[in-house]
This record gives sequence, structure tokens and C-alpha cells, in this order.
Amino acid sequence: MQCNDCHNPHGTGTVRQLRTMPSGDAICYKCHVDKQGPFVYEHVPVKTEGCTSCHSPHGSTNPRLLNVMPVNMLCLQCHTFSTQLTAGGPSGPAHNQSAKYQACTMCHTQIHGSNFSTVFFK
Amino acid sequence: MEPPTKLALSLQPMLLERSAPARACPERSRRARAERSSAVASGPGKRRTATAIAVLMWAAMIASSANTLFAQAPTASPPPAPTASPTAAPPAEPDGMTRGGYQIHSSVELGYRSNDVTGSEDMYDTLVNLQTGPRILDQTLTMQSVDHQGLLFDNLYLNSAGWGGDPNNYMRLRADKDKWYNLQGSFRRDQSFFDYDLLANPLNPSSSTPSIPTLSSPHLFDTTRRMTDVDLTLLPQSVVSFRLGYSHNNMTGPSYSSIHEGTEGSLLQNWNTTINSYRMGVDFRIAPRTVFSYDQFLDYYKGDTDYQLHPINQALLPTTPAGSVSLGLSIDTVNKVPCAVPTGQSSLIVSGTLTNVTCSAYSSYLRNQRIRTSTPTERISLRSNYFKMLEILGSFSYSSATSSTPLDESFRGLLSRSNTLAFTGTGTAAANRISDVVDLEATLHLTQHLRLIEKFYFWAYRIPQNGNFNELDYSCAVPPCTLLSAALTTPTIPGGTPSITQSSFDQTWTRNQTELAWDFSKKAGVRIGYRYGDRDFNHFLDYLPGDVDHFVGLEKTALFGLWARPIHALRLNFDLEHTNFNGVFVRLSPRKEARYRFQTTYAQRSWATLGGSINILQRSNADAQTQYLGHNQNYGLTASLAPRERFGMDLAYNFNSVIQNALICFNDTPPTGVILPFVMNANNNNCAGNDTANNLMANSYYTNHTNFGMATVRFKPAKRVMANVGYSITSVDGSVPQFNSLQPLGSLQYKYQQPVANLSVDIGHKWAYNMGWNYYQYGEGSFVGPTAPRYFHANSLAESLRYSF
Repeated sequence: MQCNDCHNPHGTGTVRQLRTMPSGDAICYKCHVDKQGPFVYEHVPVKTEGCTSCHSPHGSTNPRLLNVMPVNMLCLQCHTFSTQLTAGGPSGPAHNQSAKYQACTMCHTQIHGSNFSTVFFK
Repeated sequence: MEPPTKLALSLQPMLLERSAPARACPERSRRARAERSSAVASGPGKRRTATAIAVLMWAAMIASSANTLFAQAPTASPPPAPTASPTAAPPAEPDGMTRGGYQIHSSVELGYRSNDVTGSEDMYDTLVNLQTGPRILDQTLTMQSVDHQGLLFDNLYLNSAGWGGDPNNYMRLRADKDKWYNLQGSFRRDQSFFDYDLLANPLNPSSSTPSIPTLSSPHLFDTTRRMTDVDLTLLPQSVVSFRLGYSHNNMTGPSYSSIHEGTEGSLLQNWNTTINSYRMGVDFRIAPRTVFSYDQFLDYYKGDTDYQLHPINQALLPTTPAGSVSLGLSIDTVNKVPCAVPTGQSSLIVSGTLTNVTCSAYSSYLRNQRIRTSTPTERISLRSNYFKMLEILGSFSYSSATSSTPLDESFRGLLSRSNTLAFTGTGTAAANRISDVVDLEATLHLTQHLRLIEKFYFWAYRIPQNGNFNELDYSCAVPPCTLLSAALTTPTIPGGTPSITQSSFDQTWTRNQTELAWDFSKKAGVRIGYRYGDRDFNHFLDYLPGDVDHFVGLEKTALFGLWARPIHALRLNFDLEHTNFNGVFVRLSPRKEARYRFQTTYAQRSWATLGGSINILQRSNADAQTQYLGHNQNYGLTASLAPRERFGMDLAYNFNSVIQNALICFNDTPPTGVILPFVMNANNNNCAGNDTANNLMANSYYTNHTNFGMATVRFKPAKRVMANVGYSITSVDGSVPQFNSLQPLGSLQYKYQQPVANLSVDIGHKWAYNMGWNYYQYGEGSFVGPTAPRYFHANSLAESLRYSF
């Protein structure tokens, strides 16, 4: 990949001169086409906050360019009760983290959005 | 957290940036690898041709190798470190030839790559994935019309590389005919293999009976992405010009995932997604230096990936004839996953037969979908510098995506909790996305050295969603059911269990940025600015009164930049952004964010260039229940020295520090006798009042310190010989809480070393001989965990002959 695959050096109103799809969606979807949706059950922050909420597009030492490993901690940092979220915070998972849940995505496989499952199982 | 842009860090090995050739499953991988390595391309005829070429090449190499001192390493993979290219030191540019009115230059480089891997081949394929076999390493053709009177084109450029088995191949084409047309095309083929076995691994404990560690990542994939882009501009210099474009992106190959139905079943899906994009546009030059454009886009996406059971961890049922079930990925009988060992039995599986038939297990699972998404988009745009003092760039686009897919799902086995022996799921999913985008930028040159830059961006979208599904469940005559029970032919609930979803969410996002830039001398300039942002979000959960999530967020950012060139040899750039948000939409969004960027280059001598960079991103949210603190700091130094024509060297060092800390509420009950300091020290009072299921609260911490160093030396021991030697190392040291005693640090603590050497010999008569050697060694500092070791080291040797005219 090259810098100008994602950044437009010739000018745009977007912050950091990021390219976008013609629809305004993140340029990441040009390659990762299956993540764009629209889905019946959207993981809303994927659309509102963008891919960089969880991934480091410039590189990471973590698999899947994740910001944080292990996966369950990345999820828990958002999926924890908070009273400050005016739009309603996500509920925390009631799983025993010491058991088999090192990667929430082992069950919540369709974490970018699902057409069939409210909890992104399928 | 978004990291700052960093040049040197991009050279580091990133676990996801490697790709690998096709493999249907771990068991078949070796065979597939062997097949790949022997094939130049698909089809027996091409393989025979490749073999013949390889034999000829090899004979030529052996004949010429008596003149070489040592081997050299080319690599066609994305260069993670100093990698030697076979074309690093080609012979002097030949004169080419003139034919049919064209000046023609051409080259082709054919070679053979051989590898040996010790340790984890899966990890090698994940990170490196260069395989053994003959290669067309590079090919270039340039044709230029001598008098600009070519029949079909005036200029033609064609280049391709990596064919024959390397994971990344490409071909690029450019052609133009003066005022008539301009054509650009490219084809890229990327094979991606991923088996970092800690990802999604259930970490099955050894205390389980049986003990079955998961040795490959349950989310392994081995896919190939083929991307084609073609753009044609007709009459590019006319008052009215036309643009046509087409892109094709297809990804196929086997991959694995999982499904939770009672226990975690392993699924195999043959990935198959395609998007075809069509573009048409017309440019009107309505005034001098002013172009008005209209574009029509159509994206058509097809998602035809099907999911089926991958029968992992199978056991026979005690029946005659014996059937079999898959117990899924998680095997922990002590914690009754998928079930406990019955009293009187030594194991859940004895002589291959299941001893507890009340287990949740899978006999079959199938899910089919046919996603079809159509996205037409229209855009009008204007770019102009008609007025000498004003530059304008603006566009408006409207897009409306429509997506739908049927659901066809079936399961057989046992869901012990609900006494379900089978279920089927049917229905239809449909969603839309309607969006408007306004993108404006204007630059007003107030004086020769003072300019005002205004940027405005507006993006509004809404996504209405509709799902209409029905599930038919089948139980046994007399619950509780077992795996030996017969399923009733009538569903548990006549007519099934319907589920209907009607929801929607929308967001309107407006940003405006104003900057004043002043170049107050030829040696320095400054800019100051301000950015204002406004987000308005609504989520209609079910269209019932009062059940709407609403969020309004404001962003205020101060901008400052400075550039200086105090002496001719020294350049300095500095930027900062300070942002405050009045609210956050998700917990890890910052209330305060600061970015600092500094870059400098110093070239006092023509043969020496020194560089340095600092990129700092800091984010925080001081809310008492969040206490989010994160940063990404990157510091880099580079030096490029070439004191003599026959000697030069490059040096680079980079340090990257990432932290991401926040309070979390969680639930963790370690096994008896296991002490986890993070869990033991967690506060069990703060969360309990608000989240009884997750009563523990602690400050979750993530730290990642990455050091990267690289050095290469170039030298020319003889007139026709060029050599490189180099070495790079990436050393990562990090820490995270340990939720599970079996959880290693994995990629948070490793060293990755890559020595490299190459040699290029100008044989004469338009021939060059290249040899390259790369060495890769990956080793983690933490314990392995209950999975396959990830350590590997590997040699990759490539030899090639290049012919150019």
C-alpha cells in the first residue's frame, strides 16, 4: 500500500486529507468490501467512530492491526458501564474472563455488523 | 488509538501485513505449499513452461556463479527491513532500440527462489510467505513515439512483478495518445495467509480430560484478493472530456470462524466476495482554469460466502452404527465445557467414543446467504483557480445503497440448555444507506506571502434496517434430550419463533476549518487555525416513543504550524493540534486530544542526509468512571551516507511507545489455586452497584514499546559488481493484565531479526546476474501457552538473471 491510497495530497476538506468513498464512507472499504454493509444490525461505533477505534492502519505489532491485545480487553474498555454516555453505553459482558473468553470475537464473529444476529453471532 | 504517521516504523514487521499462499486447512497446508511452489501459474501448460524456464535459468546461473563471492537476497514481499532486490544494482541503462517509430526499452528478470524454514511454518507464512519455485521477478516495457505520431499510442509503460508464486503480484499499464486518450490500468493479486494461533484461541487447559490444545487459530484464513482498476480519459485536453472507469475486487479462499450454539463450533467458509465498480464522468472546461465535473458511480457487491461445520474435536456416539459429533473448539471438562466427565468415566472421550451424551455438540451446521448490495452515487464537483488570488475545490455527492440477503440456516446436534436437537432459520434481511457529502476547500491568497485556507466538510447519512426471520426448533419427545434422542418432526412452537427488526440510525457531521498561513520570509513560515466540528446522532431502536438514543457532540481544535529553513541544508517542520470535545459517543473517545509532529532533514554534504522525526498523539478522558489515558509516541532517526561512489550506508532507528489505559468492569473467577495479580488487586465495590454481573473494577493497562534498528552497507568491490549487506531488528516489549493464567503475552514481547545480503553482477551483453539472501527469525519472550510454538527461523535465497535492452 502507498500513502496516497488513503490520503489525498491534492486537497479535500477531510481531516488529515483522508480519502473517502464517493458515499462518504471510510476508504478502508475499498478493499475490505464485506465490512461496509449496510447491515440490519450495525455495530454502530464502526460507522460513527471509524475503523481506527479498534485498528491501527499505519501498523501494529498486534494481529489484525488491533490497537490492543488481548481482544477481550479491547472490548471491555468500551463495554463497561458508564454514566457519562449520553447516547447510552453498551452493556458489559457477564462472562468469566478467566475461562474461554480471551477473544470475544470467538463467538461475536460478525463484529463489524451482522444481517442476522443482534449480538453479531452470525 | 490512531497512531501518528511514521516512516521508519512502517519498516517494522506487522503481523497483519504479511500474506501467504493458499491453504485449505492446516492439515493440507504442506501439500498446498508444495503445489504452489512448483507452479508458475495455474494450468499444467504454464507449469511445464515454467519448469523449462527454470531449468534453463538454473543452468545459466550455475555457469555464471563461479564469478561471485557470496549470495544475495531478493524478496518480493513488502519490505519489512533492509531487503535486497534483484534489481538493486542493474547494469547501466541500455540504449534500447528503435522500431516502428518507437524508442523501446525492455527488461525481464527470471529467477528461482528457494527457502528453508525451521520452526513454525504457519507463523512464517503469516509473516513472510515467500515460497520455493521459479519466478518472473520483474518485467518492464517502455515505448515512446520518437515523433509523437504513434499509430495507437505515443507512450506506453508496462510493468509487472512477482509472478510465479510470490504472494504479491502486480501489473501496471499506462498508455496515452496525445490529445486523444489517457489510459491507466493495474492488476494486483495478493495472497494472504493468517495463522497467528493465539487469536481466538480458547486456550484449552491441560487439566481437561481429554486435553486437546487448539494448535491453529480458529480464525485462520488463506485468501486471495484480485483487484483490477482501469481508467480511461477521452479527449483529455478538450473543452469537454470524458472519463470511464471500472474496478473489480474479488476475494476467495478458505477461511475459518466459529459459531456459538451451545458450545463453540468451528466453521469453514469458502470466502467469496466480489464488488464491481463502474464509473462514468464528464469534465466541462467552462472557463480558463475552471472545470465543472459530473460523475456517476455504481458499486455492485456480491457476498456469496457460505458457512458449514468444520468437524473439529470429533467423538463417536455409542450407537450402532456409530454416528459422530463435533464437540467444538472449547474443551474444558473441569468447567463443564462442553460438559463434564460422567461419574465412573476417566475421560469425556474413551476409545474415541463420547461418554456423556448430554453434551452440547454439533452433527451439522449450514448457513447460506446471498448478499446483494447496489450503491449508485452521483457527484458534481468544481475546481477552479480562475481568479489569480482564489483557488476553489468543491464537490457534492448523493449516494443510496440498497442491500438484501435471504437467510438459510440449519443445525443438528444438541443444545442442552434448551433441549434443542435441530433448528432451521429462514427470512430476509434488508438495509439501506442514504448519504450526502459536501467537500469544499478554498484558498485565498491575500498577499504574495499570506493566504487564508478554508475547509468545510459535511457528511450526513441514515441507515434504515429491516429484518424478518423465523426459527423452527425441534426437541425430543421427553426432555431432557440427549444426543441419542430422536428429534420430533413437529416444531416445539408451531409456526416457529418470529423476530422482526425495524430500526434506524443516522448521523450528521459538520466540520469547518480555517487557517491563516504566512510565509514571512524565504526561510520561515507560520500558520494558525481553528477547526470546529458538530455531530448529531440518532438511533431509533424500534420506533416506539421515547426509545431514541440521541447524541450531540462538539469539537473545538486549535491548529498551529511552523516551517523553517534557516540554512540551505536544514529543513524543519512542526505542527500541533489541540482538541476538546464536549462529550463522547463511546467510552474510549477522548475528551482531550493533542497531536505534535516534528520533522527535520539536514544535508550539509551532498553525500550525507540526516533526518529526524517526532510524532506524538495523546488522548484522555478524565471522567471518574473511565479515566482513559492513551498515547502513541514515535521517535525516528535516519542517516543516508554515500561518501564514495563505491561505498554507502543507510542507518535508521525508531522507537514507538503505545499505551491505552482505562477503567474496566469485569468478571473473573480463576481456577482454584491460581492467583492472578490483576484480578486479586481489582476493586470489587465500584462496579457492583451499577453492573452486578461484572463486579470487579480495575485500571486496564496496555503498554507496547517497540524498538526498531536497521543498517545497510552498499559497496562496489569491482567495476561490474555491486553488493549490499544489512541487518534489522524489531524488539517489542509490552504488558497487559492477565485475565487467564494460560494467556501468554504473544506478540507483545518478541524479537524479529532480518539479516540480508545481495550481490549484483553486470555480466555484459545486456545481462545481469543477481543473488539475494534473506534470513528471518521470530521469537517470543513469553511462554508459549497451550498452543503450537510460534518460533521460526528461515533462509530465503533467490537467484536471477536480468536481460534488458
